[in-house]
Amino acid sequence: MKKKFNIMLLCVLTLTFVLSACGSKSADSGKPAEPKGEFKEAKVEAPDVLGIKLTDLNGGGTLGGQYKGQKIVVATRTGDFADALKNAAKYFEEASGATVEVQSFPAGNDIEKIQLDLNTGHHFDAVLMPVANVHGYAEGGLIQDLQPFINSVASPNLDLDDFIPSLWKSYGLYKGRMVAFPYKPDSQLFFYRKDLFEDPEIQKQYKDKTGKDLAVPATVEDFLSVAEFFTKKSNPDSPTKYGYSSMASKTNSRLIWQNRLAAFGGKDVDENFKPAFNNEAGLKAMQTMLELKKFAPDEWLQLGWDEANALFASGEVAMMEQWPGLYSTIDGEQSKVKGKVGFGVTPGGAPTMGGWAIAMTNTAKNPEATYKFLEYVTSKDGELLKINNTMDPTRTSNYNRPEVLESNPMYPALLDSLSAAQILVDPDVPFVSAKLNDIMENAIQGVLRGELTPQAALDDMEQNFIKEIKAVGLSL
Amino acid sequence: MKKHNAEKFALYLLLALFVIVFLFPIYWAVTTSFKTPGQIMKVPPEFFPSNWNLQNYVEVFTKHQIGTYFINSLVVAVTTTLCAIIVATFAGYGFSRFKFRGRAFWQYAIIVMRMVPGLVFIIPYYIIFQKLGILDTLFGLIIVYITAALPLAIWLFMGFFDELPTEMFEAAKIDGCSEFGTYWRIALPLIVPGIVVAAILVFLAAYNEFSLSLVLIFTDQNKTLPLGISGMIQLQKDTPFGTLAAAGTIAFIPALVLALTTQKYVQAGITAGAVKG
Repeated sequence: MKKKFNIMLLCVLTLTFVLSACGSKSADSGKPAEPKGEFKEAKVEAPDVLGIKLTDLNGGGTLGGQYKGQKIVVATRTGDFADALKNAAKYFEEASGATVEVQSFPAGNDIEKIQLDLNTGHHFDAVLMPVANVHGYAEGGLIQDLQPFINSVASPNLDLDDFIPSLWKSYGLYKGRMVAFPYKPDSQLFFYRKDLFEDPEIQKQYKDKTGKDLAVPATVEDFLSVAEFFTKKSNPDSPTKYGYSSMASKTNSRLIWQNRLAAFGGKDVDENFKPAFNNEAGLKAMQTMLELKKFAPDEWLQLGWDEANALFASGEVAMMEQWPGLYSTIDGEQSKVKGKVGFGVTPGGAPTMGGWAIAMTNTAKNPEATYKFLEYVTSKDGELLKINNTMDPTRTSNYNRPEVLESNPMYPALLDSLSAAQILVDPDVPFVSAKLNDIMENAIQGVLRGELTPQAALDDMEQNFIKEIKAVGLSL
Repeated sequence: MKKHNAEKFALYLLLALFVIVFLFPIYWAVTTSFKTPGQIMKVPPEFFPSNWNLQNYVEVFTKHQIGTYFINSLVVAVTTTLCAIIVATFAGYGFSRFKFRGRAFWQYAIIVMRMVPGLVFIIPYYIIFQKLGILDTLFGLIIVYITAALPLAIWLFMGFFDELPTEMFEAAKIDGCSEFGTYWRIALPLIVPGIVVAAILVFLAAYNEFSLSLVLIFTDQNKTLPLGISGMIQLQKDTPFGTLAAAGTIAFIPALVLALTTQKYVQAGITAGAVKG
């Protein structure tokens, strides 16, 4: 019996030794590597994008193969995000000598996977993730400050002031530190049936009914008035069945409220993570949401991405608030509204912002090369390498290029929306952002289903926000 | 006679209903994989595609590396099945044939492992595999799947071996057959239907597994089908029903082959081991 016990003990000790030996090896490999390759002027050629010749694909002359032998691992979501990075990586590899491996994970599971690795595995040198997650990593000390690299090895063409200011502030900065580069901008847009708004007969009908000129609504009052006019239930002469639509299914419905919250002067949380919505602004935003319900489709609460977009493309809806991705449905072969849609800023002028940012992990094996990659894919020309993968530009100068502006009819509205946006779709509260989303969704659904009054929903949300934020030790 | 015919009619009607309920989703996925986006969204839907095109298949092979995912899944599932069946038949035979101290304890210890939710093991696996350098390898995945498959397989084989009459083992012993010879030449051939059923269960579990592969695999060249297919869906983009259906149809091929080739063993195997003799 004793012999058996000794054998088992020996096995356990041997295993412990093997594991600890492997562990120390991986810890050693975390040491930052200095560039070892010889610097030779690099000339990188890429095919023209939208007819624009890309001339700055060597980091403003700062990339010359000096990172040869270094590898950068970038983690992101599968699909367009990974494809865009892989496309830019080809040219970066040519210019820098480094190799880039893009590792991607399915939507819905990517956040947990990347979080697990940042905490334990340390495989990734860079992460491209939604802004709220990136800021959570910053709060947890999992990504590093980029300022020292900007001070020492930045491209002369970096031009930080060129990023759209609201994006730079919301995406790039966290507690005053520069932790990420804006990568993919996202904002709720206002889609409307341009053909109907420009129809003289309909304009006349609207004037007769309301005494006002039919125009793309900029204020909440005009929005409700136009939505009512275009709803069959309230106006049998309406050319469309519904005046307004959006995604009101659970996980999406908070946007209907958020799009008006900032318009009435409210916020989700203030700079001290204190809820800032249980006030007149929050209440008016809720009441507007209930007004909009009167003009929305009967199945509104069941509408997710595919269903809401298909309904708008069927021509039954006059106005819709949605992410820019709706454009591909409008432009699709099944669409009945192709070429008939106009784009604008959501009524009230303060749309909700999404967006993705790219950051360097604290355990990056080759920090300098990693920084250069981040800078490369978000540079003025580097941004255009990803534009065909639905990654819209984040820099003002790119929106000022006529070729870019003409390439997508949404871009003027997107630029205006990004400049006006104030609230992030996922509250910018580290660690609990997803939980706060759930709290908002539950409350909004309660109001839309008539189970909660707007004030009760706000009280409920505030109470739960405080509870969750306190639980992770963030100041209130 | 009339009563007999009515019973037969009711039986066939019921069977036909079951066939429709079970086969229609497969029919729908296969036909969708040959439709264009326009045909897929058409209202009323096309129950039989007016045009058949291979664009979705071209896309899953050229844009999504479905071939790599398919081969990886097959390698992982086949290796897991072979290893798990070999180990489980030995273990099942041992537990069934030999009486030793702690036998009942080890039998229950094995089944208790099956009761622990697999997700509990994810982080320990991740850390151990990272330290052993087998994270992001098919080898690591195979080890995990074998470990997960063994408890059920061992218990199944214990049941199959228990059913064999002890007189047969005694006769083999009297005739001078070694213990391994008894296992190999006498016991195993008699439980072939059971082996087939256990192999199908282990194969499908490994072939369809998602959560563990999500955590343990990083690179595209090591992704398995469930991981690769789930990556085709993007948020804020229209669901690519056509490419998903094409990928699903390809993924369905091994299950179809298994169903067609092992049908005659399945019925016998499922009922075997249910009643102790």
